[in-house]
Amino acid sequence: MDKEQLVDRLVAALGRENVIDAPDQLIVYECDGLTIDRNAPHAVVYPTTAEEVAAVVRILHEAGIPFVARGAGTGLSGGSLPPDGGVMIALTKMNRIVEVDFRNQRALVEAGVVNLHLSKEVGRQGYHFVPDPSSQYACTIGGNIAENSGGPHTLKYGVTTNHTLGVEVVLPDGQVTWFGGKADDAVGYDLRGLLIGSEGMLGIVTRAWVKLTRLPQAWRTFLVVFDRVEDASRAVAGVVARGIVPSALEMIDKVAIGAIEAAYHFGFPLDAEAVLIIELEGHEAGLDTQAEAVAAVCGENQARDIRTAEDKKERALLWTSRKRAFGAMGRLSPSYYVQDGVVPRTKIPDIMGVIQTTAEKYGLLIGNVFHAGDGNIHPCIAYDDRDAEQARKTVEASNEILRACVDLGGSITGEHGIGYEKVDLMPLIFDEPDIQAMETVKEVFDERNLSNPGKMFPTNRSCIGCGTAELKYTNRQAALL
Amino acid sequence: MPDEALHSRLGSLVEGYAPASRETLAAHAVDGVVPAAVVAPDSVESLSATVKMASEQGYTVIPRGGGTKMDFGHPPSRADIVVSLARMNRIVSHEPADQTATAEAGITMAGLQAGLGERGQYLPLDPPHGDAGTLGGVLATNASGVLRTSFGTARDMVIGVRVVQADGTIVKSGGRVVKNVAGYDLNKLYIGSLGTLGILAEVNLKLQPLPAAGRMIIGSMPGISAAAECAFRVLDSEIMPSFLELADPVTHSLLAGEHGADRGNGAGSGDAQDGDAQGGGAQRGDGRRGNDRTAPGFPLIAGMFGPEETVDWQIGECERLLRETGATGVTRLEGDAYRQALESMRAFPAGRLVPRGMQSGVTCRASVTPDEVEALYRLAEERCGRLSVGCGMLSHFASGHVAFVFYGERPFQEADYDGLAGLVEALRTASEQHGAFVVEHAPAALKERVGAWGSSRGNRHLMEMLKYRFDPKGTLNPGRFVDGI
Ligand SMILES: Cc1cc2nc3c(=O)[nH]c(=O)nc-3n(C[C@H](O)[C@H](O)[C@H](O)COP(=O)(O)OP(=O)(O)OC[C@H]3O[C@@H](n4cnc5c(N)ncnc54)[C@H](O)[C@@H]3O)c2cc1C
Repeated sequence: MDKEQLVDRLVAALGRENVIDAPDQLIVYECDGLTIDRNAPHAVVYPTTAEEVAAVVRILHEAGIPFVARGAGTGLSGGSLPPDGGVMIALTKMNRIVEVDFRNQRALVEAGVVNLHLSKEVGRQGYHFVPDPSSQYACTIGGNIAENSGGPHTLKYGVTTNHTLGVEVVLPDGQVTWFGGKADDAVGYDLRGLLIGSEGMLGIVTRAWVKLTRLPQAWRTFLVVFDRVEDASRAVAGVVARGIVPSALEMIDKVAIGAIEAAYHFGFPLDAEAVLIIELEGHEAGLDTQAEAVAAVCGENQARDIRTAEDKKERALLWTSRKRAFGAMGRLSPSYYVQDGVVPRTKIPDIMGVIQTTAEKYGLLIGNVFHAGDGNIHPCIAYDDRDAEQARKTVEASNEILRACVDLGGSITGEHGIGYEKVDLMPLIFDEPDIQAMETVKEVFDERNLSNPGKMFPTNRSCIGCGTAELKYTNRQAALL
Repeated sequence: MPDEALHSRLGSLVEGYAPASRETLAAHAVDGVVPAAVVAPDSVESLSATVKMASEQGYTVIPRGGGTKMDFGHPPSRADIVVSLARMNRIVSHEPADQTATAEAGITMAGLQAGLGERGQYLPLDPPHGDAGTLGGVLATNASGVLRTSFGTARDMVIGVRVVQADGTIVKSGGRVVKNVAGYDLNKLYIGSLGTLGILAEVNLKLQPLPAAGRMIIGSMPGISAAAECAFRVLDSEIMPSFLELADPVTHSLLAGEHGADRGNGAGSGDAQDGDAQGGGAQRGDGRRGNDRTAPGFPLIAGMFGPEETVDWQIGECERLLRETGATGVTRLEGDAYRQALESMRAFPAGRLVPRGMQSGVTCRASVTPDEVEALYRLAEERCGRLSVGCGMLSHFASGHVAFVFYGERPFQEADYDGLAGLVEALRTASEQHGAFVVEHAPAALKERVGAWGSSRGNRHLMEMLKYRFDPKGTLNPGRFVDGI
């Protein structure tokens, strides 16, 4: 099937208004939030129902054409980077909240529903959808499911997989099925759990039953100021070690504070080396006792100042500033590269040291704003993408940091996924048979390797970049491994 | 293959191996299928070597933990080697400051919790058979207890596994950190797979600090409707219950007898199938028989953990809601009474809490939505009434999990199976509207008739293919799982 025939068939299935194939319109779809690698799809389609997704997938399956799902394209690991000659299936028109069942505390949503829209919809009744990626004003629940996304508030209550009861999936051959459903504990293998976090490689999620969680009675939100990053890092480990489980525990370092302050004027102390945002939630009774314990830990670690968010408005502003931090980093340089790694929480002081040394070694500016409570770091490297040498250094530095994460007992991604970006880093944490087991799963679901090929597995990358792709630097650091 | 060859092979692979006596082999039969050998490797490596040999020589392997759930699922189509994990029972590492630990799969839940408790932490997973059941067995069956209301199931706390695959290859997934999305989440696939895809050897866990205080409040509600209504009010309130249980009155009075508030001195009813968790007073009842409609009230049981003040506030609030929705009596439990009540609840239905003189024969679990729990219980009660079968129920209400125990005056026999099959089918049809209905312990012939698992909902092909690709020779637990897997 040539491109023209393909587009004709897609138009016949979805209508002209739901198919894009003009090159100038496709530019937007060349990459996600990982802008360093780009590849244009043949076409982008906007199905509006699961049946339409299935119809498109059947056409593509029959013709042997690869495809990739896309939510909002906020992914940071090149997960929705199109395969060569592939079709992008955008879920953004499937954005209905189909059913909210407060009594059972769950909701049925289409994959394209924006994360924050769900929490807003149920917020009036005192509920929310717990996973709150910093991109939640844009990213979709389908994307959250594909990446098993986390967020600042997933420290206490768990990430997307812990809040998803069932998913409706269009399998890579076009069949539609449910894994799990409205009730928990489906019989047989946990295909639901397997699919969540599989980065769009095992099928396309069209709807999901997700859990709704009662908003807590009370909050205490603190901004704790430190003169040394090591002190802030130790305070994080100290809080966790004390058996206190805050609902959020975030760190922002000096570079990131500067960027955020310039953008949002929240009033962060510009001379601080690091701040922690610590949020406790639960019941009014007892919360202050916990707050005192947190304050004590911070005090022991030389906190300079502990400020408390006075009201809902101040709390909201604080979180907005935090959640828009990456965007603010964009003001410091033409481009920025956000990394995502994990260390055991007690190793945060070590990894922060490594990041600093690495920044110095490569002469790069690195800001840190991250989910410290679960050891999930996000060094954000400012660079100029027009400078090839700087871009190369950026990727090298970030790989060096990830290697240190692994050496400290951690992982190469806590929430952004392997995608295309980290394909070559998989062997850092997995041996051949481990990866083989995952590939076996992929083969069972997608014999012809059509659903988001070229991702996750080192052997699989050739599906991208043989054509006109403008692939630059990512993962070309074999020497580092 | 003659057994001699098998014994000598095992002898060369597993230190201390000796062929088991006829009695031991019989004791390791799985639903009547007697194995040729029982072996207990003492390391991942020797486990791997054992499975590799079995796979190459065409033996089947039945992994075994504490042996508390060996009658789960269907009888294996063949059982050559029972591989016991009993010697792989260490806590490999525990990092309290990271709230993580790694343990071998053969450790008992009790041993695990005791070890973690020494440093102020625990795994918030409290399935039945807590004493003898092993971590691996609990994960393989995805068993859960009352704590799932607040902490979820094993799928919410296992962060990494090491597994011996059907050909003996050792693989891992996940890692040792609490947040990690590298690679597919194969942990989920192994949990609840009844050892049909691989044998769990080592597990990395996310832990919780032991709570400062725990307390329980029990409301006696005028009926199940009022109890369920109150449960919904609690869930929709600012209370965050650590557990929220709905029990039928008879079960509750048995639990109460168990925790000493109302202890009868009846003799326990035996149950030949189940060797464990029978100890203690699990069988003591207060002498009520059947579904005694005059039993005082329909209990709603809520528990709160956490800092003292928080627990206090919630208990108070809960009492208010209980009274508002018509509770005729409210009991608060703390200290030892609380702990004992919690323990006895955890033993249901494994402890086979049935009234004195009754014989339990069948336990099942349903997964439905919370608003279906009441109807399901009414259906069970009505069908059981017609059959003159006793019906006990304990529901982890918020998750829609319902455990049933069905009992009679004598052990169930062939003649009862028609009626019981009808009962199971009716409950299964109702449950499968959104969820599932699994027969856990039952006479093998009854299980065979109704099927242990129920429907895999259009996913049979994928599951069969996963099994086939992970275990092409059908080495691991053949035939025990859903759809004959
Ligand atoms: C400023 C910023 C902050 C961020 N903060 C966080 C954070 O705090 N925590 C976090 O976890 N992530 C964060 N991210 C990353 C990103 O937002 C998440 O991964 C998000 O879940 C992606 O959703 P999306 O709809 O944009 O998905 P996309 O980027 O469109 O797609 C991501 C992947 O999911 C697949 N996919 C999308 N929809 C479906 C579907 N319906 N079915 C199957 N596969 C599908 C795609 O193929 C792709 O592989 C951040 C990103 C940005 C830009």
